Amino acid sequence: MEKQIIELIQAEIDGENSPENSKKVELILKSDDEARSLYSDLLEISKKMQELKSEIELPKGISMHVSKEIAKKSKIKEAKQSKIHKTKKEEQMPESKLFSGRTAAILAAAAVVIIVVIFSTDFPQPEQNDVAGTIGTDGVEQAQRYRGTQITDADVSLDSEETQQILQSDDFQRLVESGELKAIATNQTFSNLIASPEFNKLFASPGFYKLVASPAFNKLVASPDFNKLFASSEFNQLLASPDFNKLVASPDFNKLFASPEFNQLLASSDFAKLVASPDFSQLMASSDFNKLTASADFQKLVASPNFSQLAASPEFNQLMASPDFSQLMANPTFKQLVASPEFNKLLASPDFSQLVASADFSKLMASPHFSQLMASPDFSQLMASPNFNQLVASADFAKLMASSDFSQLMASSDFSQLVASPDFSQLMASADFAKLMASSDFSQLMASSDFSQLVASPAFNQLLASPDFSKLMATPDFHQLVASPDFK
Amino acid sequence: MVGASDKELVDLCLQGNNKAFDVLVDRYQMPMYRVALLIVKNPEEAKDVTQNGFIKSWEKLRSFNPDYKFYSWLYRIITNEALNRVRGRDNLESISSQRSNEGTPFQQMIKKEENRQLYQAIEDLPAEFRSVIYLRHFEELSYKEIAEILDIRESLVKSRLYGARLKLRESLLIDR
Repeated sequence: MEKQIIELIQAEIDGENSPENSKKVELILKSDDEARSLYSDLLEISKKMQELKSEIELPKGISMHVSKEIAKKSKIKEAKQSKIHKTKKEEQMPESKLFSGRTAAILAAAAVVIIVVIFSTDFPQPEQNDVAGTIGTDGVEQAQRYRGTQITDADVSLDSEETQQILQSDDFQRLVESGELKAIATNQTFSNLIASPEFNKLFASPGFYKLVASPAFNKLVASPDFNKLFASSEFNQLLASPDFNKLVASPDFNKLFASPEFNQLLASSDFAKLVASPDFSQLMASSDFNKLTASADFQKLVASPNFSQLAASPEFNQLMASPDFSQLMANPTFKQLVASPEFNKLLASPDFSQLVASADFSKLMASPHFSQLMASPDFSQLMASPNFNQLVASADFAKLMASSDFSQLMASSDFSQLVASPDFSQLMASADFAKLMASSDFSQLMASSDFSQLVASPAFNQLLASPDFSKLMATPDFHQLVASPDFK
Repeated sequence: MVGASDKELVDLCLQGNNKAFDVLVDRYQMPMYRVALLIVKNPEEAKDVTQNGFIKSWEKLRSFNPDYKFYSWLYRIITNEALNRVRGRDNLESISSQRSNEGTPFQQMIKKEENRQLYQAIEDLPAEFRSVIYLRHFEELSYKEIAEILDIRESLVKSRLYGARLKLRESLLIDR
C-alpha cells in the first residue's frame, strides 16, 4: 500500500485530516479493499484503547496528599531558610503577617529610592562642570551622584539568620509603631509600587541581592554620614519634588543608567579614586559651586543643542581644541553663563582649582571609560532632556547639593568603596533596575508625601543605621517574602 | 486561578503560592496516573508514583524551562519515577481492570481478559512505540503535541504510531 494512503488513513483515525483529505479517504475506502481492511483494524484498536482508558479510574486522594506534602515541605523550607516567625501566631493573625511583609517592602523601596536620589543628584553636577568649561569637574560630580544611588540598593538586603533579630529589635519596633510607617503601609501608591512587576523583578534580581549583601554597601548604610543625609530635610524635599520624579521616570535617565559606557565608568578605579579625594568633596561642598548649578544661565546652557553636541563628541577630553567647543563658545547662552557672577565665583574659588589640579582628576579625565561615557548618545540625550534640566534648576536640588550632610556622605570612604564595588555596577547595568526606574508606580511613590514623611522620620533612620538591619537585608528570606504573592 | 495557564501557575508557584500548584495537580493528575499505571501496572503503586512525581516536580520547579510545556516536563518526571520503580523487578504484576464489574460475571471475565491482553500487547511494544500509543490514545494529544513532548519530529511520531499499531494489530486482531 502506498505510504501516502497509509498516512491518510491513520490521520483519519486520529482526527488529523482536513475535510479535503477526509473526502480522499472516503473515496479510497470505497475502491481499495486493503485500505478498507487497514482502516477497520486501526479503528478497532483505537476503540479498544478508548475502552481501556475508560476502565482506569483515578484513585482518590492524590491531590490532597500532594497538597499536604507540599505544605509541609514549604514550612520546613521556610523554617530552614529564614527562621522568620511565620508560626501559629502569624497564621492566626494574617494582618500582622501582612504588616511585617509591608514593612520589609517599605524598607526595600526606601533603599531603592535613596539610590535613585543620589544617582540623579550626581548627574546634574557633571553638567555644571561642563558648562564652566572644566570638563574634569563635571565628571567628578557625576561620579559621586551615581555612587549615592548604589547605597540605596544595599539597604534592601537582609540576612536570614538575622531576620528574627531585626524583627525583635527596639529599632524595628519603634519604626513599626511610628505613624509614618503606618501611613506608608496603607498608601495606595506604595501598594502599587510593591505589586509592580518592575519592583519585584529588581528585588529578585541577583545583581540587587549581591549589592545588598556586599560589605561595602552595608558599611555605607551603617555609616553616620549616610544616615544623616537620609534624615536631612533637603534630601526629603528633593525626593518629594515633582522635578525629581519626572527625571527618574524619563526614558533618557533610564537609558543612561543602563548604558555600558556609564557602568564601565562607574566600575573604573580612576573614578573611585577621584570621588574619594578630598578635593572633590571640597568642591561639592562649596557654596560657589552650588550657586552656579542653581543659576538660570547654567540651565539654559545645559539645555542648548550646542552643549549636547559637545558632550557627545569623542574629543571631549581635548575640549579646548575641538571644533565643537568653538561652536559652544560662540553660542550666546554660553557667553551669558561665562559672564554670570556665579560662574566666575566658582572659577575663582580655590576649591575648584584644587580639584582640577589634583592627580585623581587628571586620571579620570584621561581614562577611556570617561571618554566613552561622554561620547555615548545616552549621555547626550539625558543632558538635553527637559526633565533633567528642570531637576537641576529646582530649588530642592540646590538645597540638597549645598547641605553639609550630602557633602559628608560624598566624602566618606564607605561611599567610595560601595561605588567601586562590581556588585554596584552590575545592578546599575541590569535591565530590571532600569525598568523599575521607568515605572510610573515608582515615580508616584517618590512623589507621595507619606513616603517622604517616613523617610524623614527618626524611627526609620534609626533602624537604617542599626547593624541588625544590614544583616537582615542580606537574608534570602527577606527577598522571598517580598516576592511572595501574600506580600503583594 | 483555575482558568490560568500552566505558565502563569508555574510563575505563581515560584513566588511561593502553593495553591497554584494544587491547580496544576488537579489538571494533570489523571493523565499522570494513567501513564504511571501503564508502567507500574499496579493501581496502588501508580498512585504512589503519581504523588511522588508531583512532589518532585514541585521541588524541582526552579529548573523548569518555561520555553517548554509544563505537561511535557511533568510527563518525563512521572515516567522516570515509574520506570525507577519497575527497574529490576522480575515479575511484573498484571494490571487489573478497575471497572470491569458491569454485566454478567461471564461478561466481566471476558472484558477483564481482553483488557489484560491489550495491556500485554502494549507492554510488548518497544518503549518508543509505547509512548506514542499512550500519548495518542490515552491522552488524545495531536501529532504536534506528541512531537513536542517527546522532542521528536512530527513525521517520526506518525511512523512510530503506525509501527505500534501494526504490532498491536498483529497481537490482537490477526488470529480472530
